[in-house]
This record gives sequence, structure tokens and C-alpha cells, in this order.
Amino acid sequence: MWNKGKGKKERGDLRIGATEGRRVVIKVNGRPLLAREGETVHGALLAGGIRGLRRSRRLGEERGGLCGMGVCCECLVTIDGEPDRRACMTPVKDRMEVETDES
Amino acid sequence: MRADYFDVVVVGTGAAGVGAAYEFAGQKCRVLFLDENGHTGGQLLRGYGLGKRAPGGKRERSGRPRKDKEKGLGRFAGLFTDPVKGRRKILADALGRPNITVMQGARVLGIYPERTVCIQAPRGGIFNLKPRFIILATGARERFLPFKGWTLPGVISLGGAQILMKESWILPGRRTVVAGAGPMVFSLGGAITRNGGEVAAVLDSTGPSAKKEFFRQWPPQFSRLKEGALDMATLLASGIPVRQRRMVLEARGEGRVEEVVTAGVDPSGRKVPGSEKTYSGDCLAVGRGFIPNLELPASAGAALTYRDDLGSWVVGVDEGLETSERGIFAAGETTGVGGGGKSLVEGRLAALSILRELGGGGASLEARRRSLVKKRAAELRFAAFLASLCRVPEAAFEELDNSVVVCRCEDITLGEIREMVAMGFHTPGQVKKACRSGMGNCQGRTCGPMIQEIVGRLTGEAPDIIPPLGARPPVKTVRLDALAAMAPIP
Repeated sequence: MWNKGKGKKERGDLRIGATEGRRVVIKVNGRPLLAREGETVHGALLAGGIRGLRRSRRLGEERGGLCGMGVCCECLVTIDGEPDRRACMTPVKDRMEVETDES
Repeated sequence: MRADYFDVVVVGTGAAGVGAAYEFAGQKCRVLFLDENGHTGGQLLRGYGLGKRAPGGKRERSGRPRKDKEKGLGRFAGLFTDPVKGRRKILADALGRPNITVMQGARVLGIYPERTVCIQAPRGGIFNLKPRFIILATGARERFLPFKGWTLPGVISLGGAQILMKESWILPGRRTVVAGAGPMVFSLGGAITRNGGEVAAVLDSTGPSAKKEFFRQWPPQFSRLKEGALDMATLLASGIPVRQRRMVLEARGEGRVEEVVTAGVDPSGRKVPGSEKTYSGDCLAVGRGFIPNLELPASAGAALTYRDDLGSWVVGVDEGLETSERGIFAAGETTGVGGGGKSLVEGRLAALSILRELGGGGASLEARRRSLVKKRAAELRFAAFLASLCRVPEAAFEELDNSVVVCRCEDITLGEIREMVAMGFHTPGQVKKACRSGMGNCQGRTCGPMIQEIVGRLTGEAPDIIPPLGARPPVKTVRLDALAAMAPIP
């Protein structure tokens, strides 16, 4: 009923409402991605359609954020050259460079 | 600064920390609050916390969208429930007092003998403090049951999905399947809907009979009933299927969740034959209640005990919330998961116990303490009800394939765990040494509790004799260069 129409929201846009956070640009694997201040790296990547963040050690499976609160370490990415940073615990900053384990 | 500058160190500024801050505010003692997060207020007040200015100055990160974005009955949500408003005010008042210091983004790496707290400051420097008292309010994390495909990107915890909305203002997916047990499935389903997201279905593995006990709670849980009714109304008014006694069998997709296979489940945890139903979606939010974060208390030497009524290991405490270690108190979810109400009461109680020893707290201290002890008993009864909803069913692992990954960090499968148990490794600690489960980045925080349950099922041993994974400092991952640069212990 109310939920189906989706209102003015663009289909596929995961951002809620008209956010007022300042726009920032981060680089993900060398490609620019638009984000808003106040978002975590995990959130910004998700909104950018990037779910797979790392490859698991033994099976090489693609993994994405699970707990969202810094416990599970499934969202480890390289941020500004520093490896194994938790995407869910790191707020985005303008010109931040993020690298995921791409296939 | 001298190592004994602070009289009290409180680890965690969630609901229990807020309670402690309320009692310590303006008293004659110096209190330091530490929180790993960049905000105060813990998970409940995430997005409401203070100390982090909202971007753009004006934006209210309330976790609830602005009115014009709300749909259906959710439009009226703000009128009836704002469970956090009061706590937010307490926090604001208390944190402004001169006797209270807050350090955000600080991680406690361990607690050594004689209450030596090893802290890593936000910039990476490591130092020690020696307060007279410590309150451990380390909170809880989500409990999971593994299933086929639960490692696919797009499978997220219920709490994780809520955090995305509260903190980043981002929906967990375009179309989300919400599944698991406990009140959180309904609150998340309601929140996604109110924020304009699509929910494919809300699946709860328990049945109506399990929830009857809610109405026998004394004192009656009016505010919680109101919250639940509101979420339910949002879901039903939006035409979202809400199904009880259903569980997730498998998440499927190429490199990410595309569809979710579910089935009816009986109380023992076995699937009902022929009841499979598949939902499409790009996100699956799952969770089965919460378990206490025991690593720091355990590393401090506090004795852990198994509480049958809460179905989990907890930090053992006396009536005043002191642990087996003199001067170290525990409050909130670490003493048994019961939600924000219990944590708030326990944070206050622990603070009053400390104030009594310090000789402060005013004339009414004893009366307040007695009333809090009573309130805590009521909260523990509610905690037992929550635990009854989230208990892991007897046959939870029986029908699971050997290929299902249990330890996500080290990629250890259920088959390997079964093999280790068959070889005679009968605690999570032994299984870890035998096959590396729990040795990865999360240090067994995710798989450890599952392995406890698996070992229990396979050996037939009671949960109270299968201890959780041991924990030694550093209990958080820390870079070696940070440790190397550490100032020597005075």
C-alpha cells in the first residue's frame, strides 16, 4: 500500500531523505564516489553499490559488512594506505582513498 | 597526568554508562568515561549521541526521518515514542559537569592486576591508568546462527542494518528480508518501512505461544508494548508479510544476496517439510538476540558464570554489581542481556555502590540503592523473557551442511568443527587450538558462541560446563608499532 509507491525516492537510491551532510568525494579503488559527511565508509560504499569489501583468507570468498559495529571485522578495507581498517567504524572524509579486495 | 588521577574509569558510554554518568554528575570524585565509538550513547543512542557535531550544523541524526518522508502509520511514530529523549538529556547534563571527562574513540586493550587499565587513545598512543574503581559496561553483540550462504555480501545483522540507517542515513538494501528471533526483527522491519525502504518479509522463528509470557510481566511493560504495537502496525498497514515460526534456510546469489530461501520451523529447530518459500531481495538482515561482550571482564580476571534463565554466560556480580575482582564492577548487558532499561538501572546501581565506598552520594543513597535493586530484579525478569525468545533451538545445527562456514575470519566450516569435536576437543578453546576457529581478526567474537552451542549439541554436555573462549589482553586488535611506542608502566 503506502510502501509500494516509493514516493519521490529514486529507485535504487539507498540514501534516506534529503540529507544535509556536506558532499565529499572519496576514491574507491581509484574511482571517485560521492558520499556525505556523517556516513561511515561502510555506508558510503553500500550506497555506491559496493557490497563485497574483502576476500576471505582460505576460500577467497567475497565478504561484506556483517555486524556494522566493529566486532566481526568482515568489512576490513585499506584506508589511505593503512590496511585492515574497519569500514563500519570509520567516518568518510573528503579525498579519502579506500581500497577493497577486488577480484 | 598521574595514573591515579581518576577515581573511577567507566568503560562504555551506552545505556549503562549513561546511568553511571547520571549518578556521578556533580559528586566529589573524578570519573573518566571511555568509548570505542566516535560518539557517546552506545548502540541505542547511536545517531543521537553528543560530542559529534551533526554535519552541516543543523541536521538531526535522529534515526527517524523527517515527517514529510514518513509513510503510513509511521508518520505518527514520533508522537508516541521517543525512548531516547530522556537518556540523551541525562547524558548531556552529566557530560558537561567538571568532575566528568569523556574520551571517545579510545579503546581499552586490557585490564591488568591492581586495576591497571591499558588504554589506546584515539590517535594511537597507549597509556595506563590506575583508578580506584572500574565499571565495565562493555555491552553486547549480536548472536547468529549460521546457514548456507550467510557469508554472502548482503547478509547483515539486524543491528548492523539499524546502525546504517541511524548513523549513515542509508538503507541496508533496496529490498530487504528481515529474519531471526526477538523483538528486533519487528523493530527493524518497522524502521526500514518508515524510512521509505522496501521490506520483502519479516520472519520470526518463534511462534505466538512464546510471546505470551510478555503479558505476564510484572510490572507491565507498557512502553515496550507501545513500541512493538507501533512497529507491527507499520508493517501490517504497509502490507508487508509478517510470518511467525519461519527461518532462513539459505541465502543465494552470485557474489551477493539475490534471493532468500525460507521454511517453516518447529520449536526444536527442524524445518517443516514442504514449507519452503523463496523471497527475492538484495539484503538479508538476520540476528538472534544478543550476547554479552565478556572479553574485557574476563581479561580483568572477573569470574564468568552461566545464567540458565538468560541462556548465556555473563559476568558474575553481587547485589551491588561488584565482580569477583575487588573494585571492578560490571553493569548493563555484560551481566545479562536485557536491553537499555536494565542497563540504565545497573549503571546507576554500580555508580551508587562506588559512591557509597567513596563516602559520597548524599543522604538518600541507601534508599535509592534499594529501589534500584528492586528495579533490577524486574528488568532481569524481562531479560529472561527476551532470552526465552532467542534461545538456540535443540536441533539448530542438525540439518546444516558440513560446507557451511562457522568461523568467518579463518574460513573454518561446520564439517571441520564437527570433526574436531569427534576427535575429542570439547570446548571452544580446544577446538580453536585444533583448527584455528576463532583465531582471526574478530578473535572468536562471532564464531565462539556458535561453537559453544555446536559442542553442546554434539557432546550432550550442559551449557554451563562449556566455557566461552578465553580472553587475554590485548582484547582488541592493536598495531605492533603502537605497542612498541608505548610508555613504560610507571
